[in-house]
Amino acid sequence: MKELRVLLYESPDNPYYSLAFEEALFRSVRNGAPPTLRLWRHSNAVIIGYFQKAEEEVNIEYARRMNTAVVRRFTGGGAVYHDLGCLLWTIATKGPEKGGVSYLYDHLLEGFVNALRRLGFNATRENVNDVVVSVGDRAFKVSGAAGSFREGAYLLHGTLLLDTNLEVLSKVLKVSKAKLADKKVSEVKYRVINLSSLGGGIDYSKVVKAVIESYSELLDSNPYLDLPSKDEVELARRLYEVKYSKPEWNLLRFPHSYFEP
Amino acid sequence: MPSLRIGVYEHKARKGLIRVSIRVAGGVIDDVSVTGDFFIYPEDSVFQLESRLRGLEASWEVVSRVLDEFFSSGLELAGATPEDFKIAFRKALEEAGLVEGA
Repeated sequence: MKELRVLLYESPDNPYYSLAFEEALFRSVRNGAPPTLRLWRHSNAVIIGYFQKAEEEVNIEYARRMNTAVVRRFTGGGAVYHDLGCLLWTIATKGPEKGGVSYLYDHLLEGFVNALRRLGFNATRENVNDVVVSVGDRAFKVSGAAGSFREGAYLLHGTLLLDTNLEVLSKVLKVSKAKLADKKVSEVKYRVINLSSLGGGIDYSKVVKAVIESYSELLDSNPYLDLPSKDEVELARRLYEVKYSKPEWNLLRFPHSYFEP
Repeated sequence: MPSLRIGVYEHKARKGLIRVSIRVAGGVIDDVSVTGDFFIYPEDSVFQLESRLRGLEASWEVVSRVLDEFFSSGLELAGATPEDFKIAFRKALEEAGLVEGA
């Protein structure tokens, strides 16, 4: 049977390195590393998408006051706030050569949705990359995901709000006028909520177990615990030094090519 | 000194906000950026589009032709369409006073 490598590998107080490791993991899987599930956290960070400009998405003054790091990731999508109450998960694997967007957001994201179903929640994918939990006739957004693919390799990473400080979240992130004006969109249709507030005695260990089981099932694999390889750590360190630690990357939306010509 | 015009427009696609900021000097696109929480693959195509537009005439005729070429080159979007990007660009040009409002 195939195997799923599980990394409980985090650097909560250095989100710049954490995001550098994400890119290292994507490259590593592209170069033949086994399918990998990573579970991790940040203590206090805003992570913005590859096409976002920090000043447009983040209340920089508030972030500075709260000592919140602002880090840009290599995947598209929107800005998110992470504290230790937010579980981060990443699935990186080889897949069909032409699987594209559908393999990412239909197939791979379904693995995470299934994990919430295992925990007894009525969870669905909505609007490409949102994960929504329904209670009665009300729906709450508890997770968002973003991913990339290249040369038949895929990486999808996402959040899960378990017990995040939603007041800080709402103050540190800006909401655009266009989004507020458009009542049809999910961002205003679904209220963001912590999963723990929906009851069911949910905690980290239960969620982590469910996510591992769910992705093992989706990829038809046996899970095993592992550490990053020496090559992965060295690559992450290099990406941290040349790119993820730089304001040009995090705040000014410079492309990859600026850092690695 | 050539006249400087700036246009910014935020368009909300089904999924994702597309924000086009355009700076025009003497009728020529001097700077342009496409920012937001959309998804496009491969990602770096956005930067290629921006550099392709810089230095071109700031007219809808020219910009829409570049966009048509861009989106016919095998890109993948999630939750947005090429039309969403075209709306954002056209409105940004309108904001800059370079296209008559529809």
